[in-house]
Parts: sequence; structure tokens; C-alpha cells
Amino acid sequence: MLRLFRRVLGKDSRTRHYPKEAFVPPAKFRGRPEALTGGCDRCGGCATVCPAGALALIPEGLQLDLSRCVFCGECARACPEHIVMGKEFELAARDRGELKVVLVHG
Amino acid sequence: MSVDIEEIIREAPSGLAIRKERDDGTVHMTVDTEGFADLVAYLHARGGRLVSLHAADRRAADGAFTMHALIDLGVIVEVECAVRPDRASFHSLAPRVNAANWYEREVQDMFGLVPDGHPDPRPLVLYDDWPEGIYPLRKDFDPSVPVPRVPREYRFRRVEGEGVHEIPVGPVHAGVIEPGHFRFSAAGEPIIALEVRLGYVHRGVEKLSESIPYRKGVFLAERISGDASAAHSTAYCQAVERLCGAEVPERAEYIRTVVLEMERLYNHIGDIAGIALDTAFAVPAADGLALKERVLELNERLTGSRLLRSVNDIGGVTMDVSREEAMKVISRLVGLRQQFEKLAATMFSSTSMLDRVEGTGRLDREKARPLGCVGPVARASGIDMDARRDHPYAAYRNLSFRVPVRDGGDVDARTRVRVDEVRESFAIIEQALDGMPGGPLAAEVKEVPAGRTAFSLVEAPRGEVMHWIISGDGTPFRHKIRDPSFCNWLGMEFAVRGNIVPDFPLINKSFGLSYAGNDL
Ligand code: SF4
Ligand code: SF4
Repeated sequence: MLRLFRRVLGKDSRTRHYPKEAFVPPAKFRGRPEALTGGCDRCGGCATVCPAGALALIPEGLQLDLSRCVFCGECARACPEHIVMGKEFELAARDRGELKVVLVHG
Repeated sequence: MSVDIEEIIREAPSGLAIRKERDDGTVHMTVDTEGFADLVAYLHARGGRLVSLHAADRRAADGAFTMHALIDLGVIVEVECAVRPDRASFHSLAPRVNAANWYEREVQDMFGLVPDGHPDPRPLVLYDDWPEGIYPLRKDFDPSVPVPRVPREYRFRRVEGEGVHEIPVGPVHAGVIEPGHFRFSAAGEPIIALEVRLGYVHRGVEKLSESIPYRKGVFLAERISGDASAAHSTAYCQAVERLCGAEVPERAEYIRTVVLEMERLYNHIGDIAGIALDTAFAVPAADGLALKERVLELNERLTGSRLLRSVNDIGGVTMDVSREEAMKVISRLVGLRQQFEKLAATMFSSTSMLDRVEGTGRLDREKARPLGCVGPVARASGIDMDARRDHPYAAYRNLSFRVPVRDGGDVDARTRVRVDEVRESFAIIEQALDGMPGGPLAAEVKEVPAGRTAFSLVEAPRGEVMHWIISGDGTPFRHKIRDPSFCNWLGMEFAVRGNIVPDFPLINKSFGLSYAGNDL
């Protein structure tokens, strides 16, 4: 009985006590695209390369539609001065509208 | 394979065939519509394997549709013929080459070209309520205009006789896997026949690709079949690289190889765990899934994506693997390997599991070959094929590995082939990380000239993936994708015959097929 118990305890487990225990994404993880500070020249290059059509220039800044974004990192690759792939992954929303966020360049 | 391609072509029945060598080492032959089926059937009879059979709508430029058959004779031979729009039909190959069955039905659905003499000309991929006379892959079909729906009923094959009953299963399944309908005809427990009806996740990927610039097409390719993103994107990139003559740097070839094998690892380990799960062998099932999770976590560290996305780029890769990362992965693999061996030992020493898998769902070589089965399914039925060795790409020609082949053809053989392939993948990843040459990650890519044709083969976890592209103006003009699942579903219809209904989930698992990849 004890041996069986030990064997069961010795088994591999990949379960985390999320959210009590935080998930720390690895360095290369691509979460929500974020704006870097420093004036963006509004050239629209990022929106052009985005394969999902998730980016659009609007008067307030750069609009990111998280319901479309596939976290591919193309925008950050095209414009590393102004966009970086962040680590945020808790992106659920109760309303579709909330998924449209504006990246404001300082 | 030691076939003399010259001799085969010299003896070919159609003397009228015009032959061209392509610089990618393939042979291209053009015949008239009449001679097409004869020539393809002949090449097949001489030992060729049908890799793909598809059409293109070139009415605007050449006034005709074209049919294309790719045959693997060691060298890939592509046979092409024109089909006049006023005739819109061609001689069916299916009676002579069974593997052509689904391809021809697909061509009929998507292009409205009728395979004359096809033994089973029912629709295949279009939705049941798709109206007749609308063919999505014709150039005059506008995907932005909604298509009216007409209620229609698909006529399933019927088995009749005393005590025969039908069991419809799906398209929505208990495990919330992908959607597909299975219609069993059974007498008591044993299955007399199964008909698989797919198409529920048909998204029009090939049509969509015609409007997507090449660079963005990589992301589309990654999403053709979610757990084969590395394989599909590699196949797509390689085809485009051939179109524009890009030379992929060696370092990128090695990184692609590592990623492709990581993909095989997590898929195979998941499939092996699935066999334990479906035989109610809970401990190795849980262990196997934990091990799969470890591989997914490693994927995430290595590429930022559990499913290995965003690695491929036309001309190379987007991200590097540093020396430290490589060393870390190699040391992780040591532990994973030990765990995997324990898992395999637990599974194959259990008589109660072996009792479920041995002799179950047998597909013999005599069935698997004419159906054109590929991948682990083919290799478990005694067919020695693997694109990594037979048509090497990425870094495979510089690495040493075995291609495991078994001839049981049953669930047991398919599982053991995967176990052996996992072992090889471990070794390949180590070799590739160890021997990774320096240099750039991607080549300068020139514009893709219009009107060229190129294809590429990649051995995905499920078997050979093919991407075939005619280039257009900044986007593919025609993009044919052939997922291995498309070749293996019919194999399963045969494999379940004579088995009892409760063994079906297990057999299905051992085939491990993709629905989305099949439907496109
Ligand atoms: S973020 Fe960069 S690419 Fe996008 S509009 Fe601004 S400057 Fe242009
Ligand atoms: S990560 Fe990709 S999909 Fe998301 S906004 Fe950037 S380019 Fe578009």
C-alpha cells in the first residue's frame, strides 16, 4: 500500500495552481502587442504587415483589435522602435468592444 | 528506390506526351485530355504513387482548365493536361487508381469538371446545402458574395440485409474533437462498412490563399491544421522559395528541422497517450499527456509558441536558437527520453492493453498501397516511405535517422511505429542542435515571378504534406494543399471492417487524422 502510494506521489505532474500561482511566460513568449514610448510616425507600416488585419490607425493612436490578433509578432518585427510583443496573456473580455484597445504612443 | 525513370517514360503509352525537365529535378509531361488517365494509370502501374491530383482554372489566360497529377517514382513526375471548358469532363482514373477517388470528387466539387466513369461521383467536400452549379475554385466565383443555400440530402452508401442496422455518429463528438460524421452499417457488434463524411470545417483555405500575399500566406499555412503548423508552413515556404529561387541559409534549414521534429514529438507522444486513454489504461495516459505538456512547454521556451508558430518565413526563419538555448534543450531531452522509455515500457508490458491493440483495425499493405496511404499509417502497413529520406529537404540530408517500418497494419503496429519515430526524433533534434552551422537566418527574397509552378513535400507527423503553387501577381494564382489525412481517411474505412463498434474510437485514434487538414 505504502509502495503504491509512493509511486503515485512520484508521478509527473504539470498542474499549476493558476491563478493563485502566477504563470511566468518565458522570454520569447508573445503576448499582447504593446506600444513603446517615443513618437510613432503614423506610417501605417505595422497595419500593412499584420496578417490578421488587427491594426488600424485612428486619431487617438493605433487601434489593436484583440479579437483578430493572432500574436504572430509581425508588427513588432516591422517596427521594433514602436511596438513590442508584451507578456500580457489574460485578455478575456465580457464584451467584444472591450477587445478593441488603443495603443497610445507617448 | 532503383527505378529507371528514363525507361519508364520511354515505354509510356502516350507517344504524344511533351516532356520537360524542371530545374528542381522533377519531370513534367503534358498530354492531351484523352491520354491523361492512361498515362497516369501507366505510371502508377509501374510503381508510382499518386501524390496529388488537382485542377486549376486557366480559362482567362489559356482558355482551358488544367488537370495536374503528381506521381512519385523516386523522381516526382507531374502530368498535366488541358480540359476544355465546353466539355468540362475528363476520363476518371479512379477505377484503375483507387487513390484518385477522393481527388476526383474534390475536383468535381470545386471546379465542376466531371470525372467520366467515376464509380462514386457524389459530392465530397462541399456542404450538403451548397447549391449545384457553383464551383468555389473557379476564378469567376467571388468569395465575398454570399451563396444561397438549398436544402439537399447526402445519400449515404447503404448496406442491406437481415439484421443490418445503421449507426450514425457525429458530426459533434463527445470529446469535442473536430467534427466529422461516421455512418456505420453493422450487424450486431461487428462493423460491415463505414462511410466517413467530412467537410464540416471546410474554410476555403485554397481560395483564400489566392488573395493573400506570400509573406502573409505563411500565417495561413500555420493554421491549415493547427497541430501541424510547422510542417504546413515549411511546405508553403519551400514552395514559394522555389518559385522565386531563394537559397535558404543552412542555419535556417537546421532550425526548421528542429522545429519540425519538436512538432513530431508532441504529436506522437499525444497520440501514444491517446491509445492508452482509449484502452482505459489511465496511468500511462496521464503520464503521456504530462510528457506532451513538457514538450509543449519546451516549444514555448524555444519559439515563444506552444504550437511552434511564427518561426517560418519565406527565405528562412524569423528567430534564432542560441547556443545556450540549444544546450538547455539537449539537457531537457535527456530527461524526456527517460520518461518516454518508461512510458513505452509500461504500455507494452501490459497484456490487457496489448489484447486491445493487437490485430485491431488491420489495414494490410495490399489495401494501403492502392489507396495511397502515407505517414505512420503507411509505415505500419509495411510501406517504406518517408519524405525526409526520399525527398530530403531542410537539414535532413545531413542527419542520420532510421525510418521505422512494421507490417502488422493494426493499432499495435501504428502505435509502435510512432514510438520508434519518437526515438528517432529525439536523436534528430540532438544532432541538429549539435551540428547547427553559423550564418544568417534568412535569405534576401526577390519578388516572386508570375506564372511559375513549384511544389514541396514535407513529412508532417501524420505523413506527407504537399503544397503546390502556380504563382500569380503577388499572391498564389492557384494553391493546392494536400494534407496527409486526405490520403488516410479511406484507409480507415477499410481498417474498421469486421471490428466491433466499441473498437472504432481506438482505431480512429491510431490513425490520428486531422479533419481541418482534410477539409481545407
Ligand atoms: S507603430 Fe511603427 S509601423 Fe506602426 S504606424 Fe507607428 S511608426 Fe508606423
Ligand atoms: S501580433 Fe500579428 S496579428 Fe497581432 S497585431 Fe501584430 S501583426 Fe497583427
